[in-house]
Amino acid sequence: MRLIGPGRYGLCLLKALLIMIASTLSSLLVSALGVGKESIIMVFLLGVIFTTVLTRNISCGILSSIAGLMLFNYLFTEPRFTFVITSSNDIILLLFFLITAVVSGVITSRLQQQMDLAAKNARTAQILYQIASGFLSVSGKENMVALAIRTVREQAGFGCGIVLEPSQERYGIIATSLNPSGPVYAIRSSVGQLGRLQLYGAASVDSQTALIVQAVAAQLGSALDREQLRQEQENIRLAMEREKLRATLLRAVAHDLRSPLTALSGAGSLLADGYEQLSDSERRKLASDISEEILWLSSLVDNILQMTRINEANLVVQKTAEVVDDVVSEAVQHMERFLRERPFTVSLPDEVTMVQMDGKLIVRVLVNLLENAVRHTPPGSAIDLTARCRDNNLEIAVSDCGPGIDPSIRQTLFDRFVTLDQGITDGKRGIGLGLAICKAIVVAHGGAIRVEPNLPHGSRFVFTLPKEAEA
Amino acid sequence: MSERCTILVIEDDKYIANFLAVSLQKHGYTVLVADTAASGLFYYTSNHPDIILLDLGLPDRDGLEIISELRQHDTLPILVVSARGQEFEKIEALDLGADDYITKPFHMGELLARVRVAERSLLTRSSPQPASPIYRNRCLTVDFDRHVVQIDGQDVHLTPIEFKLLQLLIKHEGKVLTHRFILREVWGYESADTSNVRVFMASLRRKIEKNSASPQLIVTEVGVGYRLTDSEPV
Repeated sequence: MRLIGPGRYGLCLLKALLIMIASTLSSLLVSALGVGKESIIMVFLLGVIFTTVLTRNISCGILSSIAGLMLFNYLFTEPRFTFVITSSNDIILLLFFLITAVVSGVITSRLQQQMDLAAKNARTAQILYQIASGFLSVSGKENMVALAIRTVREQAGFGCGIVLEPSQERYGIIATSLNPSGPVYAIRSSVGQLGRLQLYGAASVDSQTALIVQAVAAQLGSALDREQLRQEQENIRLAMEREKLRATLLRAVAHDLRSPLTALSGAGSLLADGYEQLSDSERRKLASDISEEILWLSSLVDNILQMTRINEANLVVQKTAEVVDDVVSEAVQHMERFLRERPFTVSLPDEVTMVQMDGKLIVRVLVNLLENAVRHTPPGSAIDLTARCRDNNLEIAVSDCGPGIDPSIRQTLFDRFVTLDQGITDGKRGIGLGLAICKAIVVAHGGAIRVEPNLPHGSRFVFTLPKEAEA
Repeated sequence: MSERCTILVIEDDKYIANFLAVSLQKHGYTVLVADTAASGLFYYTSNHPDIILLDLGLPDRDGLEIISELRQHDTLPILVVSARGQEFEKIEALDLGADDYITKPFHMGELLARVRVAERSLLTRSSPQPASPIYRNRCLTVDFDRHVVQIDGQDVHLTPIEFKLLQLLIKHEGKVLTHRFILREVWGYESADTSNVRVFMASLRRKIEKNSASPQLIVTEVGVGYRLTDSEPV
């Protein structure tokens, strides 16, 4: 029920008065045309209904029906211009007029109220729909809470504060003397209470506002619930992916360890058991095979360790200023045994250049690239390493003159476990971790890595590192 | 050398201990093997070894403790042989007073070279000769009296700081010098920012190395420091 102030009531009365005057004048006009009083009373009835419709107030309607009765009595019943009624017919007419006027007034007013209510309900429904659909498209806890606060302010007209339960995180406004705290609504979800929504600025609110605020609280609850579920699902997916990766890695490692271990134990037992039977050169060959296999094994272990470090959440890069020369020479030293038999050239920047990097990791990148170049090109073919400054980057390129990269794996080259001839498990060694590691390291440094053909044949792996540390 | 020194190997992995002992004995050293810190310290006090090869991950104590304990009263060369390959671990051991650091897996030839360096430093310590005014290492010749540096007989001009760096490296030939140590010795102050050292070292290296990408004289230990290679051909 709408509250009506005295001013508003006065306006209603004024309206009723004007309508009464209009109906009196028109009835006088109609009577002058010679129409009977039974018809004239209809004009007053019309006036009463108009009054009820326009003032939206049943008491005004009743008041005007009484006034209409008086006027009709005064103006049109015999003896005219008195309030005396002589004819019993007139009494019945007036009685029925009164009953009809009041009943129709009441019905009209009830109808109007219902229409008002329906319109209000429709608006509320729309608001509720907006609230619900608004939460659908939002993700992230902060955004959801912000949307809830905004919605309450826009639709209900109140400021509010939200406290999320387990973490006691606070959002929105807090109580001040200007903003007395109002009712509190619980934010619930399927798992229990997630928090509280506190209204400010009003000690109590009407049912419509309460409905809206409750809807916001409920929607926020279910949205937070949804968010939590999504988060959990994402975690599970990541864990599964990690698990899968670990399994693949283990399989690959186990396989790759098996063949060198077989060679090692074979050569070792041959040396131990048949030492006397072997010629000096055979023994030497076996021993050098063993140490070569072991070198390969230790580089594999290095890579695996590096990979687990990278897999553990996000790779943490500890950047310090390193001289490019140092890093390059460390990598070259590491690979010296393999590079000795080949034409191998290195060019360094003209100036002594320092770049922010994790030296150990960049050495690993270089070693992996050089190792690939050695492993995938025929013995005796040339390898080149060039480091130079370009714009604000350091650019390092490892080029070989091998057969180039098979187009079938060019797209996925930097993914994990990519090797040529994946079907042939006993083919060339390599578990396809090297380039994935390179990429992870370079990207973690804010750089980029790519491969391009080296002319006339072969391939060139180029990676860049930003010279200045990013702010 | 007819009489070679005694080496105490403190290592708990019996395979590594065994092949270290065998290879060192083959090269004429007397070898003692201890598999715990306690027995290692016992051998140390009872046998007075000349050099110690120390593993850091021992079953009873951390090798770093042994280094600092020994350093309180003895200057014998301590060579750390460890699987701990992180730079800060190397620096920690070196700063505690270890003479050298070798990461597992290592090459036996490498280890023998480091042992030889330690052995020589022992010799110069016991019978200090007047420092020779001329130093030769591969293609490098340094005349300390005349402040002249030559590569293959060609004069090379070095700035005073570069010369000091070279002098420091020659004094500790074969040993890893941490960035902080170099900073303290050459610049005379301690700081966490060691980029100065790296820049000067890189420019020194560009002057005295024929191919600075595969240096023969100054070897970088990334993240740790530098080492001047042994002048005795390996």
